[in-house]
Amino acid sequence: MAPWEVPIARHVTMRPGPFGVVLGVVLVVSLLPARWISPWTHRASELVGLPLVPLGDGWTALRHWLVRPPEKVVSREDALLLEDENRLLRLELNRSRQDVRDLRRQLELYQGEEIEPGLRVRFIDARVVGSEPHTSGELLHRINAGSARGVVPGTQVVTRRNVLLGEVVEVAAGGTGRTISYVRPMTSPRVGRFEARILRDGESGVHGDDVLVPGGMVTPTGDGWSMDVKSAAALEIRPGNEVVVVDSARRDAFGLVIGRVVAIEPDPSNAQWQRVRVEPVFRLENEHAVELRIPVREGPPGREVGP
Amino acid sequence: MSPGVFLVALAICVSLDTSFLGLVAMGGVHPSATATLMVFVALFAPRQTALWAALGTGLLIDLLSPGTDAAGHPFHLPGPNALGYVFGTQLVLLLRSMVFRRNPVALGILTLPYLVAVGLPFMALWSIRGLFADTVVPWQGEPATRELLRWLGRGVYSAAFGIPFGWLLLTTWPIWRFDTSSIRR
Repeated sequence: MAPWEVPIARHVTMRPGPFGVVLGVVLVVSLLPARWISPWTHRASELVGLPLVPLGDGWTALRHWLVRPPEKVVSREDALLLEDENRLLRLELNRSRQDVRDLRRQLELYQGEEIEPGLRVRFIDARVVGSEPHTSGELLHRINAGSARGVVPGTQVVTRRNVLLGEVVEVAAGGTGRTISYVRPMTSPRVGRFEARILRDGESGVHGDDVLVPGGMVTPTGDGWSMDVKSAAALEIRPGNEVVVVDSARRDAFGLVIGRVVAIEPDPSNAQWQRVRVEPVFRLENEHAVELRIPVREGPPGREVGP
Repeated sequence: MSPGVFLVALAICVSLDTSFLGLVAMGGVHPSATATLMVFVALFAPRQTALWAALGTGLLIDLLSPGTDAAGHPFHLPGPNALGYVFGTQLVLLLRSMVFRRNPVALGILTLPYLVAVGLPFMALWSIRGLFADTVVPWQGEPATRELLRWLGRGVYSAAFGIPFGWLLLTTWPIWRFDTSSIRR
């Protein structure tokens, strides 16, 4: 009798077949220490699991589809109400975003902006509250910002789009007068001649002292300005070009736009020169909300300095 | 029995068990489509074929069901389900001459003793391994009787599930090409 034959009766023996052998091997393997089994069973599990992955994914997708949360059905009235509410909330959101933008801008302005190396300005908001004839006979515009907020004579008055409208000529002193100033429009002949230059097509600002720039002295005419430029330089000028201040005596207004070219006409008295007519982009008498550019002469940026 | 049909059915049933039937679990117990399939095979296939099929299926389930070793690492142990499925199939092979094989109710009801029979070697083998320092038994922290009850509950649930699923399997009976000479009823 061979050793693998098992006696089950006196004359009968059982010889294990291949299945019995495999079953015995499985039994032995299942009792081996984990460290002997882990390395190869892990790899074997990956191999046998691989073909089942697509099927498993399919069943999992079906399972997720079955257990997805039910969609909430709302009535037509509720839907309309929700749409209205949504619209209102969107409006409110847009308004709030605009407020945030304005507040950020104001914060930047109040912190002081360096408009030229060494020249820092801060902006304050003001409103044009009236116009009245001055003792000098000219018409001045009254604004609701005065010495109490640091306004001094010569302070530049601009629109929120950074266009120069005028300059403060008088700041009321004492009592309630500390909250009032008088502004002269830049188109007033009493402003006097000042230096400006014309931005050619494609230019967006003043950068350094470019001698080739067409420019010169502008003369206020009451409703605009006139400017004499050499004929050669006038060839570069087109109607619509912006005119900016580059007067060294008006350092605080340096680079601010005052108006746009509307016409280039020949000078009847001198063929070498052309006369450029400029009209304001905005007029002080038409504006309600303005800003005052107050130079910060001393102290750290952002700190308000009194007059 | 056509091996190709068996392999396709096995793949569908095993993936159904592992990926879908957890959806209908009750008290942590879900039915087993694979057990019903194995009862179906054990009812109609020749003895040796049914045993080999059970051994292969058990090994496949062992390799797809990771346990944990003492260090907390995943650990696949070939054996508990393999031996359990062989034992369960052996039981059905003994009982198959006493039932109406083509009756889905018989197929479903046989799934209950089948799974209980699978659970006994499974638990016995893991209990022996539980004596080793490197092994953590699947029912760690709970009494073994609770695991036995879980197998019983799984058997009951699978028996109920096995009736309609068995009917489905019986409708596919012709494509399995079972040897009809071994079937007496």
